[in-house]
Amino acid sequence: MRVYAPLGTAQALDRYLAEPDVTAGITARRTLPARPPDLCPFPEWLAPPLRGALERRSFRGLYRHQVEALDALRAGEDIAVVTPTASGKSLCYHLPVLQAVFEDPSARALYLFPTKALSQDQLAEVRDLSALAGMDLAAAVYDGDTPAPMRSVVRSAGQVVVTNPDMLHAAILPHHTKWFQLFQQLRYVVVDEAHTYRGVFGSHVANVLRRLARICAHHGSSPRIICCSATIGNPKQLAETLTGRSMRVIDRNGAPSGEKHVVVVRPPVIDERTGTRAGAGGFARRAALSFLRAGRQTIVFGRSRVAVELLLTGLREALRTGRGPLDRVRGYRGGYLPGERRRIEAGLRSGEILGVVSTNALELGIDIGRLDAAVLAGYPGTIAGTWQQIGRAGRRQEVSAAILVAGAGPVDQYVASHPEYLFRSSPEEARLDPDNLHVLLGHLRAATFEIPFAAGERFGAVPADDLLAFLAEEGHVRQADDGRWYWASENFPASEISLRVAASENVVIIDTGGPRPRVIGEVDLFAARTLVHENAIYLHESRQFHVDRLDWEERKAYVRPVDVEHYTQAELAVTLKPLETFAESALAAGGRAHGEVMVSSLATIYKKLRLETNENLGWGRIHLPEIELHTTAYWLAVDPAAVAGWRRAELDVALVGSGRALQTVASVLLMSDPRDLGMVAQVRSPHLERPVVYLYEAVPGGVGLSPRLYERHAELVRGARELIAGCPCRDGCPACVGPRSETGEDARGLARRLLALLKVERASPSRAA
Amino acid sequence: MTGELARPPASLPAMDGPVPASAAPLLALRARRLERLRATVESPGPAKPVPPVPAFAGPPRAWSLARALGGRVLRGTNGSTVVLEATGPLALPADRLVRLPDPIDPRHPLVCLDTETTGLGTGAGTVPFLVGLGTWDGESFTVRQFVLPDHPDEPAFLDAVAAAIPASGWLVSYNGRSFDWPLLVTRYRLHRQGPPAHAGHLDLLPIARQVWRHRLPDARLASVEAGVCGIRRSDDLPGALIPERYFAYLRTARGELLRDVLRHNRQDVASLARLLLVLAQGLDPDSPGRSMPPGDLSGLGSAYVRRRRYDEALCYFDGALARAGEAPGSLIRGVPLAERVTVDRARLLCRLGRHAEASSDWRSIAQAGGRLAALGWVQLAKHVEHRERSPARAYEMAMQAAAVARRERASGSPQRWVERDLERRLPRLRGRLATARSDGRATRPPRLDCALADGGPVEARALHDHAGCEGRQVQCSRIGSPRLAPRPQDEGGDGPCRQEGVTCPGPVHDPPCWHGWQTPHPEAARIAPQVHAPLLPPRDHELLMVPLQHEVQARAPGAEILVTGARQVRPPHQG
Repeated sequence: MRVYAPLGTAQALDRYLAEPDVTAGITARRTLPARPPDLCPFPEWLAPPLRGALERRSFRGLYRHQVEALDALRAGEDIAVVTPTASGKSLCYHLPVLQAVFEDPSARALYLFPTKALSQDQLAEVRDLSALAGMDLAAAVYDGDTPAPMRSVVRSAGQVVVTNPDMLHAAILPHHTKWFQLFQQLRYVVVDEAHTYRGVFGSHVANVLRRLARICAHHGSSPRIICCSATIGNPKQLAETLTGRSMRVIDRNGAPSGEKHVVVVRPPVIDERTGTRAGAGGFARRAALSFLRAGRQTIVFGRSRVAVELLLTGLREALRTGRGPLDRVRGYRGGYLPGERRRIEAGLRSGEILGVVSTNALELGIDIGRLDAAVLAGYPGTIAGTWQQIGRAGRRQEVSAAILVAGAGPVDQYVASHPEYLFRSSPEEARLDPDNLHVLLGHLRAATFEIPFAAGERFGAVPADDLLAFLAEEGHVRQADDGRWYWASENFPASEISLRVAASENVVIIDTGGPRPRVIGEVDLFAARTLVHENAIYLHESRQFHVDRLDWEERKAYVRPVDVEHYTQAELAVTLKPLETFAESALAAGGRAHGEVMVSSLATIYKKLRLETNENLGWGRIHLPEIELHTTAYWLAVDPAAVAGWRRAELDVALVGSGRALQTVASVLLMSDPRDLGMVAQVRSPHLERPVVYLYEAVPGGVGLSPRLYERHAELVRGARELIAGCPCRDGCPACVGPRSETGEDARGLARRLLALLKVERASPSRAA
Repeated sequence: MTGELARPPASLPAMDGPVPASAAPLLALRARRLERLRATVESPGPAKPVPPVPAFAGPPRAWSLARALGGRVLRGTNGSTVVLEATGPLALPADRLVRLPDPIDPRHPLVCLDTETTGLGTGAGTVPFLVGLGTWDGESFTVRQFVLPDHPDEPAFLDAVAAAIPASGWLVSYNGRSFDWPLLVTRYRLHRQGPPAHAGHLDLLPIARQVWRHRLPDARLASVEAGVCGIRRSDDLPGALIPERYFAYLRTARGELLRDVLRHNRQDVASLARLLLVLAQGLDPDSPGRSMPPGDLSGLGSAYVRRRRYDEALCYFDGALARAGEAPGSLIRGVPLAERVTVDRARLLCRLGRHAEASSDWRSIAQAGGRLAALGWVQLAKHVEHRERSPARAYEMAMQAAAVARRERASGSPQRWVERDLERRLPRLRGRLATARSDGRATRPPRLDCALADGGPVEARALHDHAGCEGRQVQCSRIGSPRLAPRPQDEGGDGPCRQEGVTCPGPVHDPPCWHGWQTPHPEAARIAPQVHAPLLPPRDHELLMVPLQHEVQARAPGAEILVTGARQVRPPHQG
């Protein structure tokens, strides 16, 4: 018995959109027309075996962007390829690399991917291609999982070495003398998923690439660089900042695509008075069900690990009662073990798996083939990310569909009510600052360790002598009589730098329910506090586990399977303390400033929520250490005299409300990820002794957002006022100053009054500090 | 990184920042300098002229260093090296070293090598600043030490070292294979040269671990030297302080700071020579090992086993056993010497296929009743079960092992691997005995047959019995379908046992096992019509779990399949 029948994607979409509450919620529906392929003949110089391999894969030619890339590299240019997901980007580097190896077997190439999963994926790809071409290519992954006996083989004989920036930084560059065969013959450096190298991480990677270039020069090679990136606002600038070279951008996508429908759905208001809207999860689930029951391959993106598990649980439940393809729907997120993930990816490619619920872990270019439909449960936070997730749906010939279901958050609501923001604005810019002094000094130490600096030598664009003299005072570097700077310390400087913000340490999750304990997953240290604290319900592949014990020192969480009606949600208490002010100036009735702050977060309590209804069933305490974030912030302080007549509650509402509006506008103004900025409002700051709103950067050390907010203060406040004024709600909604239930009465009016105080700058430029 | 971030809260003096009051001025100073740096980074401007190299002040470091250490200066094209030489008598019967587990070709000159470095890492920034080379000339032993006067002198220093290592030389080092030599190679590579050629490399660390470690607190060169050669160093500079000494010398140019380092290095090189001598004496071809204590002989035997030189290994094991009485009370890894060596010898005999001799060794260990008795019983049980084909006696021996294991657990030192082994071995042996009894003679478990839903005959193959739940995992296959290899998870006791809350230890896949028992049974076709349908979906293979009783009704887990008659088929001759 089957209550569903195979349907086309378009029909499944129509069926979903025809449901009354969905129809009412559609705020945008666009059809992206089908695009024919832009094929060019194979370049004449392409090695016959490679051409043969492509023909065996039934390629009749190459897409325009692939040919452009090959020609540019042939002409000695460095290139940045910017085309959408699944447009054949990886051939833009596999082909030139294989061509180089074909012409000269001693040629080497280095592939850099941000994650281990991508490394394995692309290694398989390049091996396939070389096998098809009948070439005997020595390609291998070199990362933390590479077994010791393999390592020396890869070092001496690997023609294509696939690794990640962290490994390059800590294990390859400091030991470059053991890699001399690679560095003497390096022809290509491939930097894939370059858009992930932004912010502090990007600044680190840029410096690692500077070190790489130095080492290549020392060993006598000058490799071409191939950057690949998803669509972002400033690909050329990103690639050039990252690599320090001038890059030729290749962005004319020649790959074909079928017609694609993109729909933005806003769940309707279910409580007029409070403005509460129906949850995005339910709408996303229904959309996914419509596609899955029609037999269409579907990916559902949730915004957090818990959201993914809840969506998966809901989907499976619905499929169980409605007799759907239950077993063919899987979860996918960070925290699943690598083997499990590989099986899911393979299942998606083969079509065996029909549906997958994922976090943005599948945003990156992992090869899962092309799917029929993508359902985004909540705005992913960035335009670029949205298009990447939407890009997961897209057949070459057939129709595909993507549905964005807006969540209740202010940014989601903004996007839902201003869909042109999504369709018209260019995607976010990726910013990084390779000359960030703290990052730079750390890598300069590592570079000195690797090869001594000659007097007058530059590191990137920066002359190194002054910086080295600074380091010399700390005693790790010395200038010898020949003027060169030498590393003179027992320390291993690369180990003192971690490229990534997130702690690399993991908590492993151990299921003690079986006959012998079994590792079922892992979670990073930061998230562990809210996901696997004691008595948490941890969800894995929609199965529930109770955390019996979290051994924080040993980084182990012991869980056992349970079957309960609830899940848990932990709360983080965030406190903020300013450390230093970099700049400040006066406003109409207050001041703006930016500087350095310490944000501490502490997991305090967890709530037990019923699975279907989110009804609160109880709570408990969490006893775990505080985690500190040292970062930069922009803040607005209000003159206490100007708000003397305000009640404390009113002030609180006004601060939180205007803080939310500012946060929303800031994320649009700076084209940054809304999650890059945290907000803290204090009615009476213990440090500044006045009402303050802080917008702090989520990345340790900051990426320069706060000084830009400080500079663009006038625009920011004007934008916030316009946002509130233009909002159709009566007295505050999630899209402007926040939902009313949280901030109390007349939040809009109060926030506007407060923003007026912060608007005009006085004639005198600054107050006494 | 965080240290550099921690600038003082200059504009908010009242605030309680993380900076202690006393350190604040210092940090403020640093912050101001960082600010200036920030300016240079943010607006690099035109390239500044290269700052002049600091004026050369005073005599070259090499000369003052040589004076301070009493060495001479070797001038190269790219700098200078300081060389020191010391010679003393030390006769080495080097030809005997051909008998080492890792033999040395006696025609090659031996070069003892030890370096002192600026750190323990092997990255490109760790510099060996002192290389000591020890060579023989007849019966005199010369230690030559090369010292790096300053970083820029490294090319000359490396040239001098390369010139002192003959291409036919055989290096002798202590952990040099993984540390000293790779580090030197790194330096040559950094200067775009190949490393010096040499004929071979003997690392004494693994030998020391095998031969002497059992009677020493650790395997550091100084400990081995003290324990084996009886030499205790006085006023030795601890190795951990050596890098800092060199950095201090670089800062101050005071060569005398390195005196202790040179002495330490000289002693290390001499120790290598002395250890070689001890080994050579032990390898006396006339009476091997006479000069060595029996414990060392046993270690040497194990070293030969690793190199697959079994004859020599047996010879040294025998030697150690014969002289075990000389060292009463000597323990190797917590076990009396004789017992340990007997076990090692029995293992070796097994490997050589000399099972009869091995079993007599195991028997003597078992009957001695020491800590390793359980091991002896287990090995005997294996031998008796698989070679003598007597599960009953094997079971008795396994029970003996269990008794010893219980005793050891009671005395507070449980032998977990024995316990784990017995957890599987005992039930399996019990099962073999039980089926042997029920069949009268067969030692194989009964067979089960059932049928497919489409009426096709199937053959049921017992994969293994779950002793814990009295259940049996059965693979039902369509007769004539290709053989399905048992998957590991099918054999691991997964599935129904766990669902019923019983932990089942699962089978031992040790040969002989009944997995190979598989031809379609002639009775199957006759019996199949009697079985109630539907049984299995028309697939070719299905895994079921059925109780051990033969006429059963059971539900296969996780599937809507009713098994109504997995029944035993008696061998045809019993009707």
